[in-house]
Amino acid sequence: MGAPGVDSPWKDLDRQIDQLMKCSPLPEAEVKALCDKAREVLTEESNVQPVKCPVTICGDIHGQFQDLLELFRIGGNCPDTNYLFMGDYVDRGYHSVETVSLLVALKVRHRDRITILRGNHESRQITQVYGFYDECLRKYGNANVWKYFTDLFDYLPLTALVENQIFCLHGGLSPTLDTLDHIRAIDRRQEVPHEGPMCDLLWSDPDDRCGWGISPRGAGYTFGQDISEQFNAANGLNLVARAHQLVMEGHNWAHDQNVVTIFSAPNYCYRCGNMAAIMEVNESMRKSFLQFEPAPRRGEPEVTRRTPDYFL
Amino acid sequence: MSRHFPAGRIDAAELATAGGTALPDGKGVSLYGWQVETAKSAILSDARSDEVRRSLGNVLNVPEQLFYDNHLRLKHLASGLVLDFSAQDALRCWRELDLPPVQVGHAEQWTQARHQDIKQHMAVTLNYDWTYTTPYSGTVQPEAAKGSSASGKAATWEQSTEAIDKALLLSRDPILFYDEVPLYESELDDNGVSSLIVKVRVMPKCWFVLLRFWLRVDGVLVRLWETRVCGRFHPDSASLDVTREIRRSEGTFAELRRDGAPAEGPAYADADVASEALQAVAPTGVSLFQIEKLVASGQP
Repeated sequence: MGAPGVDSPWKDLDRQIDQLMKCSPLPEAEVKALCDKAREVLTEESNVQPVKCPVTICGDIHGQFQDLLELFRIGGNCPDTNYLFMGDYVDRGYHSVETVSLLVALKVRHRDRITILRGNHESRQITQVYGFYDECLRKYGNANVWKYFTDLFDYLPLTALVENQIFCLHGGLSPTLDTLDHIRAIDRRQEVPHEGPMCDLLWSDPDDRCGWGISPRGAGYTFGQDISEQFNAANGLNLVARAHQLVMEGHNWAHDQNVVTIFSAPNYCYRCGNMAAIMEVNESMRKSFLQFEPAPRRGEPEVTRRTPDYFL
Repeated sequence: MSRHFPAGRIDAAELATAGGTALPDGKGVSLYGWQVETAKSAILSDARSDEVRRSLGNVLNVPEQLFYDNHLRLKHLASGLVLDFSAQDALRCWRELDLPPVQVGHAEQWTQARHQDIKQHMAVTLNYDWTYTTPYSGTVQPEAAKGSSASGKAATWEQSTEAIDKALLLSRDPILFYDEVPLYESELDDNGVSSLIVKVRVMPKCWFVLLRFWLRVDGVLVRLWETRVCGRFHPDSASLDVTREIRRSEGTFAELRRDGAPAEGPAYADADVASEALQAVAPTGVSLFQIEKLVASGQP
């Protein structure tokens, strides 16, 4: 993590990163200051943030902090390796606070080396149901840290574009957004809405069926191979890389290689037994996948194994 | 990744005292003419998922956490009957029931806002029960269903008035074997949770199984469909003494609140707390309760 000299302007931040790498949360006041700085950095980024290769593209992490460390061991440390994370840092796992704190700290420290997009879990509403809010209350005794982070989430870019060829986002395409310019025009600084194009980018899924589908839930789109092909052709792209869905091998090609799903939380929820993957894109835009399993860990259950109980 | 899937817990000393033995690889126990075993492994691979979708009649989706190779199996050696709990049969029951799709809380708002888009792009509404609600309450089969008709004896569940002996379950006899086996779970694309899990405990006097389908659609409804099965041991290990109770509790959050159940929130965080909350307000929310006894053919 660099060589912090006595006069390094990054001295405090490097210390914080060291602390976070040990899975130790920052004090509330430091989180506030960190989020303030991160907001300044993120506010300058585009809805379609340009990213240069080489870069390593990652999917959902979901608070599985030890597995994020394993990801850095497999993929290389930041900033030695450039990273692009496609959202869902929080909820579900045990260490949302440490996970999102570390990624935001790395973003502030190495803004040109790491890109962090917004996932559908980077939202006030979702985090109140699926864990991050409760974890903040448990670790800090109040909801301030949750508020600092969820306010910051409104500034996260929605999508990224690697060398004008690989379009990266959390969920998927939207029928309202035919071109990248349409996406650039969105005012993203808001809570993820229940409907509309911004919601689609964070929520939609590719599907085997052609055309646009509406989820049987009555909200949310699916998009078929024809849609992906058309979008890639219209925007001069060769791939949509997205996250959002659990895939057993960590990555999954769809739509005749027009779309790839990447999922970076191994043994999801500590019991699925799935592999995680990250996608390396090298200097000549060649793509390769690195798969990984959970590392043996301390202080965190490796599996959900309950002690016998007299259930009724 | 087998290290993620440890076998169930066996209390070897108490098991020996009760006269039972452990099955090979610790996958279960054998006791008083019953063999109880579990299998646990990873969720279904993406490639096999396509195959399973086809086998279910080309369904559009299956739960993303589908523990297709997991099961709980209880075999009665004297009769050759097997009680089996598996995702495969549970999903077949889901397909047969085929409930109309539940709409999420903001569905109307979403559809109205996207009206133009939907028309312009001719978006098609996919139609299937995305909550994976299943009336499955276990499978009973002769030991060798296919091929040898000789060894298989049919068995049926017959209505009964004799409930499971609660005192037997409340007694703090040692648990000789315990396991919890997930069959499937879906996060419903972050609209709640749907899960089917089976638990088993074997004690010196009986075994007890709880199969639970748990559904929460955030802002809309909950469904807790439970099957409890208890098999009593007898010194004469040939006799079959198995009772099950099927209990369904459900309701929209609005209905439950109106009828005195807790409001949406922590009371429905997971199946365990929801079960307590719903039992406390019963009969509010109870849509079905029945008791049945397993009767093997030829048994008086």
